[in-house]
Amino acid sequence: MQSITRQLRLLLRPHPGWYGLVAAVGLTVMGVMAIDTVQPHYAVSQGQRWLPIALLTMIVCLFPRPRLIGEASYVLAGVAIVLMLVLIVPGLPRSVVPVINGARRWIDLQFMLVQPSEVAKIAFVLALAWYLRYRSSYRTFLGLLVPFVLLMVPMGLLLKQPDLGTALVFVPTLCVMLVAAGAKLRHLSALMSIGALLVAVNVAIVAFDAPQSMRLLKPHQEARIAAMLWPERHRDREGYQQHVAMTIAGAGGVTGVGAAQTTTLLKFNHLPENHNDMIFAVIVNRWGLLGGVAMMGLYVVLLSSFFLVAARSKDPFARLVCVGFGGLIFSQAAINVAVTVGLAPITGITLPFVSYGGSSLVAAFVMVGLVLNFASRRPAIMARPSFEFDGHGAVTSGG
Amino acid sequence: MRRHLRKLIPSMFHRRLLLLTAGAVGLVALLAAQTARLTLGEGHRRASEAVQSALEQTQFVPTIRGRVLDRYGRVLADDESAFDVAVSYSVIVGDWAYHEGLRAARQASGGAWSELGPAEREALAREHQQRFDEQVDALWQTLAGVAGVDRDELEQRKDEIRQAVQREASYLWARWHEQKLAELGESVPFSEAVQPIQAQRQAHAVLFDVPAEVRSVVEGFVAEAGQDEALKVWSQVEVRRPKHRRYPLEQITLTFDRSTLPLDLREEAVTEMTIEGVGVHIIGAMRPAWREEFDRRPVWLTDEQGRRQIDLAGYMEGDQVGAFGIERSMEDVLRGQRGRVTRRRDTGAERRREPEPGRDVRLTMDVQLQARIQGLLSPAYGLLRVQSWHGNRDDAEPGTPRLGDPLNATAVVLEVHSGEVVAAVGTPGYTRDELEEDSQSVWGDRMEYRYLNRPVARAYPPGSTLKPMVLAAAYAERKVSPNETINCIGHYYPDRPNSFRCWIHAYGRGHGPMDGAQAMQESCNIYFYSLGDRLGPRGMAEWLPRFGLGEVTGSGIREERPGHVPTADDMRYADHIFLGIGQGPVAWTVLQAAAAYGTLARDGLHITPTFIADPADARGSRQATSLGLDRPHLRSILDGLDRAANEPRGTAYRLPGNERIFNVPGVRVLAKSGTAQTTPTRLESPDGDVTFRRGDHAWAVALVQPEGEPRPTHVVAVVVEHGGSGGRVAGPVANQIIHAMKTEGYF
Repeated sequence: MQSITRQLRLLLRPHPGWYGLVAAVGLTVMGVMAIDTVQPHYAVSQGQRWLPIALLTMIVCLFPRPRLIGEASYVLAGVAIVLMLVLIVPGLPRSVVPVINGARRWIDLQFMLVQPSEVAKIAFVLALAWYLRYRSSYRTFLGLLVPFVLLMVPMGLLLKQPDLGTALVFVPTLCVMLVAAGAKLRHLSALMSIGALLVAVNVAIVAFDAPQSMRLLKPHQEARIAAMLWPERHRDREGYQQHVAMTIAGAGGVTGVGAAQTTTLLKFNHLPENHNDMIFAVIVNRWGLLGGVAMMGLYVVLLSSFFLVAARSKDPFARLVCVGFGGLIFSQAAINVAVTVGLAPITGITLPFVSYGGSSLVAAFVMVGLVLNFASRRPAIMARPSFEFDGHGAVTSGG
Repeated sequence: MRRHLRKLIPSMFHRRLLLLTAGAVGLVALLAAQTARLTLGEGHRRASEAVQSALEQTQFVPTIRGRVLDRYGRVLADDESAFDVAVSYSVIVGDWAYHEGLRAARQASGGAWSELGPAEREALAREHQQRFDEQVDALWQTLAGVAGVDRDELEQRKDEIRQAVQREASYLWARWHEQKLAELGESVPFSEAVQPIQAQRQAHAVLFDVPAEVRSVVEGFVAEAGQDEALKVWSQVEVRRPKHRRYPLEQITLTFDRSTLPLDLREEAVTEMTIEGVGVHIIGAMRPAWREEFDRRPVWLTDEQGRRQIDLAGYMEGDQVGAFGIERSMEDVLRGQRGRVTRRRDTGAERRREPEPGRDVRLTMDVQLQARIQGLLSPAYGLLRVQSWHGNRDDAEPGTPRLGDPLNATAVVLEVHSGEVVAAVGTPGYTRDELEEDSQSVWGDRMEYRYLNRPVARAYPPGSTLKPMVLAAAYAERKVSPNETINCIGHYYPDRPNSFRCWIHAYGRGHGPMDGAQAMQESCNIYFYSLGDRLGPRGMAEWLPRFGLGEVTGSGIREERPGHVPTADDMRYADHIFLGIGQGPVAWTVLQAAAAYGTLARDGLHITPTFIADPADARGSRQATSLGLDRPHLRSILDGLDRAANEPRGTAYRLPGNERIFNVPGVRVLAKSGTAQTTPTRLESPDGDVTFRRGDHAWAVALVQPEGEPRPTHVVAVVVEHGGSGGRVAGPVANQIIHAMKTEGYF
């Protein structure tokens, strides 16, 4: 009890984590307002049901000691993997694993649908941070491959659901964590070049209509790439959602058309997933370019806040977790916006804090809670800064 | 730089965070730039227009196609309004009940819908579908009841609609696919080209021309559909006023006086005949618009700035377009422009633009005379069957028409002073019913080629009917004078009696010395071989086109063919000599022949013939060009034509038995007959058997000059395919046409 009181006192100290919380709440409020213009009943559910739950969960996350969290991270990762395995076990009744829009991404707990991928995202960052905290093996090329190989497990399971969008978010998150942890940039660049080559190969397969035996992606994924390559040809089909989203966003102009007009426009311009994956189009339509930039600004504030907490912390685990969460939220947001404005093929990914969805809102606030938790901790006396490999910091090798 | 940074920020971790932050800011800048591209300037304008246009619902208001009238204002084609009851395609094929079931199930399950699997959704939808199925069934039952038709009849109608739409869809899909392949030049899966066609989204008439009481019952149900959920299916029903293209004078019954026919057929009795398919070739018919029209003039188009525009006169699925004849060639005049009602879906405000009806097109054709000539040319009447006076030989080659065989013919009546076509008939023809019920039997006819608009689209070798033009050319070029004689010894080259013979050589003699008029009267070949020879290839190639040969006349019918006349360079050895008697590489349509004779009757003023009365609509036709022929020369030519028809040695003077060919009282006829040698016509039966029809084409072209008129008023041109002797076979036909004109009050 005493420790809780003490922690509460520490939490209330001013620290950069608070900016993150303000940005997160700002984004959520923006999201609820945007959802309200297109799907009012979802806005009610998001604002009155999921936001309180998410904030409560966040508060719970303020208290456990970082070490405890770290020690639990492998268990949590195990649980996440088991949950994701449950999704792909054949023969499970639909009442447990419903199939929605052709994907098995949810577990029905009767009172709510849980998305194991949201658990997996947090668990992945925590476990990776715990794994990397005292290591320096990733400073060699081969050592660097290990985290990528580990990454294959959750990504493979996600692709099986299929949930390409979430799977894709893992890659930049890992990269961000490795960059922060001091991995050699040339090694990462080499790996990224391989990744880019892979992307290019897949695009080429679609662009040049390669024979069936050479195909790596599923037909619907190829179709989305094709829709990016030839928007005119696919405007009425695969490219429809993206085309409408871009049109809706474009119609917003500089300052937006206002709530009432957005409601009208969205009513007669059918935009699938307008409360979800495509919410950024609604935001730009309602508040215009300024609204869109403001929203991106809030993500930058959130990211900076997480990074500042990491910078101030001496605990290597906390450092990497903050960076990982920042990278995770930011890359998810960036991919979502890129899809909406037509810079990336459709992946089916939500906008953190903003899109409708219980699991994802709770997961996002859990991350905020954990960052606030780490921000409130005093650095251990004599603690050396971690991930300093260039001789200026105290640590030269993991320990 | 790097060192400086290290100095400034000693911690590598912090530097890395800075790097990541910079990357994030860069990424945000990129995304913001793309968002700005969409929301500013041209991108914003286009997007705003697109979203705003989605708020507008455009409904087109059909226009009325212009009428086609004959020269006396009789209606040949018009749009008839009637009230039809139409039901949406989705109800006809049963999709409606399913979709309504799905919608109701989704509504009933509330938020839980998204958590259901496909099978559960399907089951729930089927459950709800039942009551909509019942509504649909009640709808058909009610429609059958109020209209007093059998339910089976309605079912049959539904089947017809389904089949027709499927046919159209598979045709269109195949074309779209081909087009996509052509556009993209790569393999495109068929499924990508498949999109619902208009016919699958619209309502189709199931009850036609319903009386007012049925209309009010149906409209009552439709009005209640909005309020009463149990009558919702009636929202898929509409009472509409469609346009049926009507051809009121396609069938005409006339009485025929047979007392003026050649002796073998002459009767005192008056017979009555119903002539079907009157003027079909000329007037034309309608067909559904195809991709060809959608591409040529679409309703929806995108301008250079990417804006969606509407061309109200454009074509969309479900439109009708003229398929051939005047309906086709005058499409732009007749078509009109649809109206538009634009309704704001959010405010309900409406903007209306009334349709512009199409303009009427008046033809130069006299439908009554057209029908009468069509009757004369029907084999049932007798003239167009091989008769004994035709003189066909029993031992003629197989394929030559025998006694009693039906003959195909083409005839044109042209008004001299205006160049207007008063009648243009080709037999055998067809009716629009035949076209609708079994179009293949018409378009695929390789035996009689019924689809051919013979008067303008089939070119025949002219034979001796070309001689007046050759004479006019020779006079004009001073290759011969009217008084100059040329001695006919039966063959052209004195030392070669077996080639370039005159027809009279068969009687073992020649015509002796002949001047131009005499040569025309007796149709002396030697005289005209000489003229051909004197004019040479260049003279022939220069003069024949002046009479309209080798070029479409521009009469207003698109199916027109130019016929053929060779250039001087194309002519081979002696072609020009053969051309002198209208043989060799030359062919003209009956319309061209009539127009050329009209030129002679007009003192050498060539006027392009026309089917269209209003010169403003007749685009390009009615051009007058003087050929610069001298009056004495023209007098000699007309004198020759006069003698041919009116003097005992004339080739168009009498039939065997001393019966005059032209015997219309009060009318002077100047005529030229022609017996044109042909190559056999290839015939292909529906079973694929190929045979040939042989025999000379029989020509007669007559200038008709009623008493008291200073010059001929009309040209009558006739060709009887493989009929044999021009004078004997085509002459009496031309004579009967002149009788018909008299009956119709022309003289």
